[in-house]
Formats: sequence, structure tokens, C-alpha cells
Amino acid sequence: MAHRIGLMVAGLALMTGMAIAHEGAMGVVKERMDAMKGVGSSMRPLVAIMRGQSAFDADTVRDAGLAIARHGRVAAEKFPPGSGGGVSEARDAIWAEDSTFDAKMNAFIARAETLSVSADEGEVAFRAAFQSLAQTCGDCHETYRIKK
Amino acid sequence: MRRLLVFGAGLAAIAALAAFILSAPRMIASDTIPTGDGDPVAGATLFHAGGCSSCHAPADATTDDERLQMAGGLALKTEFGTFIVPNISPSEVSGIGGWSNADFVNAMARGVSPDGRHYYPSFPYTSYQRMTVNDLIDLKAYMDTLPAVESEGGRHDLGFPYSVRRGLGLWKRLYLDGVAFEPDGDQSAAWNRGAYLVEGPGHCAECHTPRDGLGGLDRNRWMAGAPYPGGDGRVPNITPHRDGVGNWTDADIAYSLESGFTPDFDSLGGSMAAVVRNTARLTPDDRAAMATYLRSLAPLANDE
Repeated sequence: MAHRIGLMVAGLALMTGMAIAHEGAMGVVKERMDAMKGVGSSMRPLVAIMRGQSAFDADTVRDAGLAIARHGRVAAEKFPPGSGGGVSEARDAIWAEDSTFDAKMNAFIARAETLSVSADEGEVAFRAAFQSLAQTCGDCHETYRIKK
Repeated sequence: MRRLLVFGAGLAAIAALAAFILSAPRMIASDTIPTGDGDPVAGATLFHAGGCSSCHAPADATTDDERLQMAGGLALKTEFGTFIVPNISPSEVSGIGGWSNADFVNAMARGVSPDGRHYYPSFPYTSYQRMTVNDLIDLKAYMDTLPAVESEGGRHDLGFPYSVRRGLGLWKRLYLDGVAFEPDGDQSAAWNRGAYLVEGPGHCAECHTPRDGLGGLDRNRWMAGAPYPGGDGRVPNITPHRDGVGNWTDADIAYSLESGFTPDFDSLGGSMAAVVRNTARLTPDDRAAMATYLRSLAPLANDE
């Protein structure tokens, strides 16, 4: 009898664990946070150029722009409905009917791609492209991120 | 028994009279305020430092032009009730187009309307009182150049006792000292400029400093972070403690006010995104001055 109860408890624990895993709340939240961190680290060399801490370099700019767009496309897929709350910093407004989240995400990705192209047009074009990309970060975080 | 009742009634009458006298609006005498026009160019800087458009522009404004339409209408939800942001465009019908310099200065520095009523401190005159009269007149001169827009307006929706405007006079006795910013001769010109911008027009403390039970700023926790007004999350600690911006350089702080990027390449969000749109328009010297002042504050840990 004790054996059977033990099995039931173990089975229940396993099912609960699977339910959490299937729901993926921890998983997808972590994945999008990682993608955003990826964006942040790709920003590093670009900000250094903007602040005059390193010289303009076309290869650096091109690679960083492409990496940001890539991380952005990953992040965009990681906001399924109902994945807010808990440790997540995502505001529920993301999933509201009048949400502009997807449009803002797409603008962000498009401008990262524009920035990578600007690499071959020189520093002036890069600086303009950076400003326009940076604006999309604040635009989205203004409405859709909870600061914790 | 009757004598006791009369005594009690008398005491209540005296208390009511005292409250009435103490709660009266206190204003700057209008004959001490210059009547001439200010300098709109200098005023533009103060307008951006003050972030007027963050609250007074239409909530759906997305372009720079739309952000100069001071039509108001935004609903600010607070624990005291909901405040409707007023129209401060130069419209004579819906806005403040007909105001004199004295009207404007008393609104900004004393929180009193031209018809002698108290404004609620959701309008951060507790910070604007630090501004000089000349700067306020310059600010008005700039705002007079903005487009006049008509709007419906709306009424605040507040619970009792906050709905009794006159009571604000007592609140002001506690939290509005009416003292303009005085430069500190022991500090650099940059520090003084930064302190003025942060404490006065910038009104940074209104969100970054926590409030006590009566809604006044807790000066022992100056800039140490606070609950996010009207929503989830926190307004960050910006004192030079490691919980705040202790690991940031002056240049990091100035750059974050220019670009919105923190030293770890995160981007500032929430209502700070609008603040950065404004501080981005200040001169590099002004942003550096704000950093100089912030880095000189008492370092305070988060209180969690």
C-alpha cells in the first residue's frame, strides 16, 4: 500500500513537472531575456563608437547590426500570450487587443538591418542609423516593459 | 453639561477657523513679478529640462510636433484618485493663453491658480518652486510660442478628503517651503547648474524619491528609488550607491540622459523614455552638470 502511494506521489510530481515544462513559462521567459541580453552585448561595440571610445569600423558595425536583427527575430517569437507575470518584465499590454508590440518589434528588427547596411556608407550614415535604432529600444520599453 | 457642550463647540469653531486661515493660498505678490516678455530661447531649454510634454502632450503623440501640443487629457492614476492633466497650451479658451507672468509664476512656484485655488501636487510645483522667477518668465515666453489647441478638459476623480481642495493649504504648510534654489558657493558652477536642473525644472525627485503617508517626499531617502507611480515595478535608485548608479561614471550618467542607454547596454524604459527624449535636447554641458550633482548625493541602499 505504502509502495502504491509512493508511486502515485512520484507520478503526480512528474506530471506537475511536465505541466510546468509544457506550459514553458520559465523556458520562454528565460529565452527572451537571453535574446535581449544578446541585443545588449551586440550594442556594446556600437555604443563605444558613438561615445568616441573606439574608431568607426565597417566590419564591426555590419556584424553587430546583423547580430541585433538576429537576436531581435528570436525575441519576437518568445512572447506567446499568457507568458507575462512572475519574474517576467513583460507588461500585459503586449497582449492587449490594441497592442502595437509586433509593429514595434518589426521596426526594431528592420532598423537593425538598416544599420548593418549603413556600415558600407560611412560613419555619418551609421550614426543616423544608430539613433534611429536606439529610438526603437526606448519606444518599446516605454510601453511594454516593467522596470523591476 | 450644557457648559461642556458650549465649550466643545467653541473649540471646534476655533479649530475650523485655524484650519481655514492656515489653508489659505499663499502667493507671491504680483507687483514684485516683472511684467515684460521673457526670452523664449532660454525658455525652450527649461521646457525640455522640465519634461512638460511628458504629461501635457496627448497620450498618443508620436512625433516631435505632436509632443508640443499641450492639450492635456492624460489620466494620472494615483492612490489618492485619478487626476486629469490640464491643457497648458496658449489657447485662451482651453489653456493658459490669457495668463499674466504673475499668474504663471504663482501656478509654478506656489501651486495656486489665477483664481486663487490650490493645485494638487500631481503638478510638481514642489520642485518648480526652486526655479527663479526670471526662468519661469522665460519658460512662459517659450510656451506662448507653442500651438494653441482646444480640448474638452475633465475633472479629477478623487476620494474624500483629498477632494477638498482647500485642505491642500495645510499640506503645503508641510511640503512647500517657497524657497527658490540658492547656489552653493562651496560647489562648482557645474554642480550648481546640475542641482538646479535636477531639483527644479527636472523634478527628478518627484519619481525617484519615495513619498510618506501624506504624499510628501521623504527627504531622508533622496533619489533612493520608489514604487513606480500607477503601476507595477520600481523607479530606480539613482544615488551613487552600488544599488543605484554607484558603478556608473559621470560620463555614463550623461550618456544615458542623451541616448537612453545604461552602461550595461540596457535601454531606459517606462516614463523615463519620455524623460530621455527631453534630456537629449539639452546641451552636453547641462547633462554633464546633472551627472555631477547626482554623483555628489548621499549613497543610499535600496530599502528591501
